[in-house]
Amino acid sequence: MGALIKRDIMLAWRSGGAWLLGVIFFALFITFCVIAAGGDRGQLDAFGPAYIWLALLFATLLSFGDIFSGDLNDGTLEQLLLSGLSPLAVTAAKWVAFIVLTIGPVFILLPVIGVMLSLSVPRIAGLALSVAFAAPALAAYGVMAGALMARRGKGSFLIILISAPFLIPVLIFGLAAVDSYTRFGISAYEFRALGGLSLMAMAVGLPAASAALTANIE
Amino acid sequence: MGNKHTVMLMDKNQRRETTSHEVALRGIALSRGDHPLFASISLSVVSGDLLWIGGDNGIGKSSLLRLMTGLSRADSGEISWSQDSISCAADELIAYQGHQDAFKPNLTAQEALLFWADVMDMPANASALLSTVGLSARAHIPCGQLSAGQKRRLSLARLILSQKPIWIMDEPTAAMDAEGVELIHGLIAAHLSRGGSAVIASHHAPRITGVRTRQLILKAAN
Repeated sequence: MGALIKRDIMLAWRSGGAWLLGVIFFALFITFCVIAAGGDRGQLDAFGPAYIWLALLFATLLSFGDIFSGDLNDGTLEQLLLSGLSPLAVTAAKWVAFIVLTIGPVFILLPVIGVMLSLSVPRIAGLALSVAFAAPALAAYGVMAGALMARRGKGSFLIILISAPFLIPVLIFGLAAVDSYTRFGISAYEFRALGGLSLMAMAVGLPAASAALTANIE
Repeated sequence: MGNKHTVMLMDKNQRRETTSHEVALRGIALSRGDHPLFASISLSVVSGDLLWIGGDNGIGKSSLLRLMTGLSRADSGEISWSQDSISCAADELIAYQGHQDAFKPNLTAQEALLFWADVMDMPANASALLSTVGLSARAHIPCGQLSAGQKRRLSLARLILSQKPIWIMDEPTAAMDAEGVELIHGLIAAHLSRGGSAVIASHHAPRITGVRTRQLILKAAN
């Protein structure tokens, strides 16, 4: 499992920047939002966290299709399964790699974007924490949708349709957590809800993804 | 070159000499959509066996091989894998060389082998394996720049690396030059002599001397 995570990171590093597509989209989306809002400070302050959350959701949605399609279509997946890895182990490795490669860079960018939107430091901290609590859920649903649609090739819009309903609760609690953090800190109940959503997403998404992989191989 | 791989494999595979293995198919039926491929195939492959599966394009050779790897399931019938008469999982016995080579274009040949060794939890002497399959000079070339035949050679190295007793090979000689075909036949002969077995689907009967070859020719029903 560790070998697969290591390989995915190495491949991303050598992909000539293709792995940064998600985070570049993230940054561009927010830039466009700022322009569209006319740079009005009050409006940016009110809607900044919402822009960031939307950008995060769209950026991750964009990356779901690539999670498994490469390994499925070049025969790597069947060799992995014959090499003693269970479908669940493959899924878990992809889940970790997705968090590191797609959601990780967003974290690095978050303080910069926060300053750009002139958000206060506690709100930036709240944003970072809400993304951290939601990351396992985003990755788990992404892995699930990616595994279901891996045979359909890249850019399948079905991936978006499949994952959207699962992402809505994450978005609702993720946004609510940002505001609550400024008043109640980390003990705000929204963080517990997000953590619960993440655990639930892992419990549902990872086994579902591994079943979908097995079905796709046949 | 031939001696080198023999020596290298012998010391790693001593435990295999004392074990016997079998993959057995009983009454296997498979169809592709509405089109039945085969109705009832029963056969078994044991230690030392070489089974050659022939037949026209699209007749179902690859599908039959995939059934034997355990990656796909038959419509009816039963497949069992066993080691020393105790049934085991397919992935404990099977090494599979399919149509697809499963190498990433951005990894070098050596990195690719080390990755698979890591996944299989096997000790890897990448340079010895590469010289066995005649790729020593290509160790640091990205797989994306290898020719089709060279990728086949690399996937042979993965077969050896896996140390599995049953090799299932789909068109192993496709895209191979004459020397490559000799290499494949030599490797298979050495594998069989150590008590391994091989199932090969191809259009031409493999010319492997000193080995009892069984044939299964698939033909259309009418």
